[in-house]
Amino acid sequence: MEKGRGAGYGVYVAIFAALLVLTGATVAVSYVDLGLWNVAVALLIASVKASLVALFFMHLKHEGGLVWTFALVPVLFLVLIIAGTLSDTLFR
Amino acid sequence: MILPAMGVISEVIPVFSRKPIFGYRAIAYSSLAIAFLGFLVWGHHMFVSGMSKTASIIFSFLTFFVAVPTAVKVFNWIATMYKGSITFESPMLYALTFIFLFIIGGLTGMFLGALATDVHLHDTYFIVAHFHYTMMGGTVMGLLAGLHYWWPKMTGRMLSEKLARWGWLLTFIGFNLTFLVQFYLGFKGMPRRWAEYPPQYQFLNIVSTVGSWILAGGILVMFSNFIRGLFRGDPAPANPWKGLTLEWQTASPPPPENFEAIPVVTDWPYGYVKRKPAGDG
Amino acid sequence: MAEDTAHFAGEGGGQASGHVSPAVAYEAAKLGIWTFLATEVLLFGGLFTAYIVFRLKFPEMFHKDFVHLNRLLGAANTVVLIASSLTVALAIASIRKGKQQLLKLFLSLTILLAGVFLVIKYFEWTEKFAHGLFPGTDIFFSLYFMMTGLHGLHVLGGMLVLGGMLVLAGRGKFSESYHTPVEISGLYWHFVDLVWIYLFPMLYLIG
Repeated sequence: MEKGRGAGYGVYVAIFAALLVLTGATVAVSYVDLGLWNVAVALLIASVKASLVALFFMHLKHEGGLVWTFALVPVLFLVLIIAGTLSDTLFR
Repeated sequence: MILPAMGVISEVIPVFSRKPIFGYRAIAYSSLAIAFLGFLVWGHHMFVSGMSKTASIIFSFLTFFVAVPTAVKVFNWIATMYKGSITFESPMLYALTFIFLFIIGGLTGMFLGALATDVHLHDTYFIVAHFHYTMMGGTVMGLLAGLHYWWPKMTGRMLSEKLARWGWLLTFIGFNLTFLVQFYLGFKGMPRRWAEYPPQYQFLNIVSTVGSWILAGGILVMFSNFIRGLFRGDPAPANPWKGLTLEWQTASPPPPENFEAIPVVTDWPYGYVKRKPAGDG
Repeated sequence: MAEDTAHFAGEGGGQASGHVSPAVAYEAAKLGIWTFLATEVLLFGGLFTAYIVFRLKFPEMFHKDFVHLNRLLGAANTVVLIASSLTVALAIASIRKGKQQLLKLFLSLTILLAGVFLVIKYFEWTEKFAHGLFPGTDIFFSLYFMMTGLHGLHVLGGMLVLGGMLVLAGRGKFSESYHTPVEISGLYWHFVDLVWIYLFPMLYLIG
C-alpha cells in the first residue's frame, strides 16, 4: 500500500542526513574566500537542498504532471519578475 | 480581465450565426497566450517614470505581442460569422458591439504600447478613451451580452426584446459619443485628472458630456428591462436561442442538480451544421 | 498519481462532503495548497528581487554588514528547521500507516522545533538591537529584518496550524484513510523550510 506514496521512515532520515551534510558544506565553504564563486556555490547548494525537500519531503517525486506544473510555474514567474526588474535597474 | 468577456462572446457568436465556431483550438490557445503575456507587460505603465531605456524597449516589445493572440480571436469570431445565418437578437447586438469597440480599444492600445507615441499620449484623454473602449467596450459589453443571453436561463423569464434593443441602441450611441471624442482631445494634448482645461477643448467636452447622458439613459432602459423581466417577463422556454450547449438542454431555470437525467453528449457543442438543436423555441 | 487515486478510492472513509469522492477531494486539496504556495513564492519573490537589486547596487554595504550576522546561530537554525521538516514528514508517514500515537509525537516534536527556531531568532534579533542595528540602519538590515521577520511570521503561522492538527489528532480525527489536513499542513511547513534554505545563505553566508 505504501508503494509509490513516499516511502517508509528510512528514506526521510536519509534525506535529513543529506540536508545536514549540505548545510555543513555550505557553512564550511563560506569561510573560504572564493570571490564570486562563494555566491554560486552557496546558491547551488541551497538549490540542491531545496530540490531534496521538494522531491522527497513534499512528495513531488510521486506527483503527476499537474502538481509539477503548479510547483514549477511560480518559479518561472519568479524568474520573470527578477528579469523584468533587472532589465530596468541594471540599465539605468 | 477581458478573458471572461471573450469567453462569453465565443459562446454567443456561433449561436446567433448558426455556425460552428471557427478555430476552436486557436481561440483556446490564444486565451492561454493572453493570460501568460499579461504577466510580462507591467512595465508598459512606466515608460515615462524614469525607467531604463532597455526595460522600456523590452516591455514595449512584449506589449505588442499581446496583439497577436487578441487578433487571432477577433479573426476567428469574424470567420465564424462569415456566411452564417446571422440574427440580431439583443445578445448578438452586444456581442457585435464588443467586437467593434474592442477592435478600436485594441488598436489604440498599439499606439500606447509603442514607446515613441506613448511619450506624447501619456496621461492624456487618449488613455481615458482607450481603456474605456477596452474595459467598458470590452468587458462590460461582454458582460451585457452574457446577461441578455443567459437571463432566461438564470431567472426563467424572458426579457423584452424591444426594450433590450432600445437599451442597446442608446448605449451604443452614447458610449461612442462619450469616448470617441476623447481620443481626439487626448491627441490634442488634454491631460487627464485636471479639473479645468483650456477653452479650445470646450466643445468636444460638451459633446462627451451629452454622450454620457445618452449612455446613462441606455443603461437606465436596460436595467428597467432587467427589473421588469424579473417580475413581469414571459416564462422562458428551455432553449429560447436554439443553443446546442448543455445549459440549454434543461429547463429554465435549471432544477436542483441541473438535469433530471444525465444528458448523453454525442457531439461537440458547436455542431450547428450537422444536427438539429434540441428543445423547443 | 494513479496509484494515489487507487489508494484513496478504495477506502470510502474520509470527511469529504457532498458527492465529491475522497480521492478527488484529496487531489483538489493538494492543488489548493500548491496554488497557495505559488502565491507565497511570489510574496517572498518580491523581497528576493529587492535583495538582488540592492545587492547588485550596493555590494560594499552587503559585504560590510553581513559579517554582523551570526553564521553559527543561522546554521543552527537551519538544522533546527530541517529537523522539523523531517519530523513533519515522519508524522505524515506515520498516519499513512494509521499510527496515531506516532503522529501526535511527531507533530509535537515539530511544534517544539519551530519554537526553538523562534527562540534562537529572538536572541539574534535582540543581539542586533543591542548593537544598534535596526531595520532603519541601512538597506541590508532593512532587508534582513523584513525577510527573517516575514519568514518568522510564517513559522508562527505554521505552529498554529500544526497545533490545530495536534488538537484534531488528539480527538482521533485522522486515520489511515483520512489525513488530508495533515498532508496539506505538512506541505506548507516544508515550504517554510524551503524559504529558509534560501534565506540562510543569502543573508548569512554571502556578502
